[in-house]
Amino acid sequence: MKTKVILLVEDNPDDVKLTLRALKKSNILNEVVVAHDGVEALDYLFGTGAYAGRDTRVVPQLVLLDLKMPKMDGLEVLHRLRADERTKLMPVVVLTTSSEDKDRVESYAQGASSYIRKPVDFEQFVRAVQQLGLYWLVLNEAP
Amino acid sequence: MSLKTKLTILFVAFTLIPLVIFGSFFYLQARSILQAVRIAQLNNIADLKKDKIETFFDERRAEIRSVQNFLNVKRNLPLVSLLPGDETSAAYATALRELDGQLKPFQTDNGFLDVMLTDRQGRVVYITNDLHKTADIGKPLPDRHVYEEGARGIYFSDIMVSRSPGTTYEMFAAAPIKDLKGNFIGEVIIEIDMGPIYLFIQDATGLGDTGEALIARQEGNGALFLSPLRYELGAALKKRVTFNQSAGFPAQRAVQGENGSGITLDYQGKEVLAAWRYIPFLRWGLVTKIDAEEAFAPITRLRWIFLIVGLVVLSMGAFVSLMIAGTVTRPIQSLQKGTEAIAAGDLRHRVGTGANDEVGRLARAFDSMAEALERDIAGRKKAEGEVQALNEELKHHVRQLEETNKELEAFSYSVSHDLRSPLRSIVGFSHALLEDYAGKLDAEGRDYLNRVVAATQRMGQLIDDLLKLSRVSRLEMSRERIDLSAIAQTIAENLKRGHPERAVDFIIAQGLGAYGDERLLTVVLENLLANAWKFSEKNPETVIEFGLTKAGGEPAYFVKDNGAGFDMAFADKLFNPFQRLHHAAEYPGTGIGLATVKRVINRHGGRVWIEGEAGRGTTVYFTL
Repeated sequence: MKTKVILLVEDNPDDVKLTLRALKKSNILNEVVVAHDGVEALDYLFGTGAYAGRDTRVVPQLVLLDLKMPKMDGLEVLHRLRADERTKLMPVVVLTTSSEDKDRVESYAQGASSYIRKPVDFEQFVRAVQQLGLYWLVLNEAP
Repeated sequence: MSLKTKLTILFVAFTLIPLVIFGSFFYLQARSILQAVRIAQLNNIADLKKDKIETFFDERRAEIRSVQNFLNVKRNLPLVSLLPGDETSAAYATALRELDGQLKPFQTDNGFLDVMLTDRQGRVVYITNDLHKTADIGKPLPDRHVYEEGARGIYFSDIMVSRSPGTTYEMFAAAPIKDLKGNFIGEVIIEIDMGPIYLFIQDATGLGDTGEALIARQEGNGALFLSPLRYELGAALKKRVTFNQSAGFPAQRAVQGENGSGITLDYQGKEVLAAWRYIPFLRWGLVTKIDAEEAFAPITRLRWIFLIVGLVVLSMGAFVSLMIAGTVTRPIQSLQKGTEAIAAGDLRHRVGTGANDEVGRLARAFDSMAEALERDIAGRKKAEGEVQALNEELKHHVRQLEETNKELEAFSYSVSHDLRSPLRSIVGFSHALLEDYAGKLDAEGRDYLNRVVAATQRMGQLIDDLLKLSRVSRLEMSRERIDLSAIAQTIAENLKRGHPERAVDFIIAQGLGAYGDERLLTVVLENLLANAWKFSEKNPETVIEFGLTKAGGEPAYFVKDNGAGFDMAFADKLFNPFQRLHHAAEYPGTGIGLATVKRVINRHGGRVWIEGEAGRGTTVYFTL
């Protein structure tokens, strides 16, 4: 447990870049693995597909999960994670542009640890990421 | 009961009642007259018969008296009394011859059965009828009572069965015989045949087909019939009726010495009209009678005639009254049928009558009413159809509108949503430029970038507000009892906490409840209180009030501030989305708040309006 890996699941490259920037701005220097859709995220987590042979003992400290994605959306990913023993208790923060009640409620129902709406204002976004990192990477104790 | 039946009954009753009254009156009158006539007839016949009987016996008395006075008898009776049956004595034979010479023609001429003489002791010493001679001569009279009564004067005995051949009933008459000195020397006894008198008594002339006359005498506690009865020929001297019996009443009265007449029961127990008489010296009761049935036959016939005539009149009356009732009620019935038909929905039904009386006029009035009704209903149905068609059309439009609205909502939602992503990129990377490449840009370049950031931030805000507005319209609404006062209180506290530097006095009426969706109404109060808060921020002291008042008769909630206010000319525009009366620099905002409020209130079926004056504050009212 030397490095605390963050898995960022996000299809929009702009958002990937901005999120990475926000993390950097917030002085969160953890290794960030980016999966560009749900399938890739699951491959990484379970060491399948492109990530076959990956040491799955390296478990992400935190998963930042977008909801609207091609191939497999965030809710489905969340459902798969929670159904598997290995990832059942993994902290997953839903990070999305959706402000729909339906999405929020469904996310929590599927076992999301947190639900954060990406603000338009970048400064606000940086603040949100900062607090998120502080909480989930520093204060929170892993199960 | 139908009108027809009532009318018929009334009519029949009016025929029947006088018929019955007059019929009964005449019948009873006629009957009593007939009864009087019949009784008078019976009385006459009874009196006639009584007279005739008395005359008959008066004649017999006269004959007996002549025997009493015969010198022959006065002289020879003592001689035949000496030697009864001894024909050897010359004196006896002479006496016998002399007596025979006078008494035998006397017997034959008067039609007696026998003439006897007794001595002083009542021994029969002389007999005219040779047939009786050998049996009776020298013996005492069989009935001692006759001898005893005869010693005192002329005496008629009771009737008895005759011993003479060819004769059925007879009686004895006895009378004393005295010698020239007046000494009692014996009696003369005459045997009278009852045949002729019975013939006369039984003569039923004037007594119709069922009448008869009869005689009876008292025997013990009853009456014994003496003559053969019409309906019981062998009843003479055999049939009795006792005094406590109801049958044979006239005979009972007569033998007890009464004269009278009336309607009563005869010896057969049959109802009869009768007259009765008593004949003292014979101790006979005489009865004349006729069956009531025959006596009243004419009146009975009359009664039948009355009944038949009555029935004929009655049935004719009933028939006529049925006809009349029919004539009267037929138009009423067809009116009734018409009413029923129209009530059942057949508006084309017409009664139709040519009659010119009240009912006819009523029927015509009814028909014209039905016509008017038909026209009216047809018109109404047509109008109804039109309204329905319009309604359908309207519903169709509403559905279309709802669909369009939904599509629009979905569109605006997804557009707003998808617009945010590029916006975030613009803002994010503008920021990155400003932060990382600030040195490579001059002041103007940085100003441009700042403007880009500000504009995109503003656009982000607009999109967020649009999303809120659309969410208000799309949310499922529930209705429950909620505490508006408590919600307002919470919002006020949040506002104060956000800006602790401001001096704002919230006056919130307590206990204001409502029936609606809590989330949506919370949005309403949030918007209104936030507006009040925002537009009064330039006041040194702010008062914001939430309460309930009356507007146009219905309760209206209001949120009132003493802030910037507005020109009432723009009041209507304020509820349109993005409509603002102030510059963003003056008061920040997107102009979505009141539009949101209006949508929520509309969804609750309420009204919302705003009042204000520039510089003097604003009041927003809403009803639920």
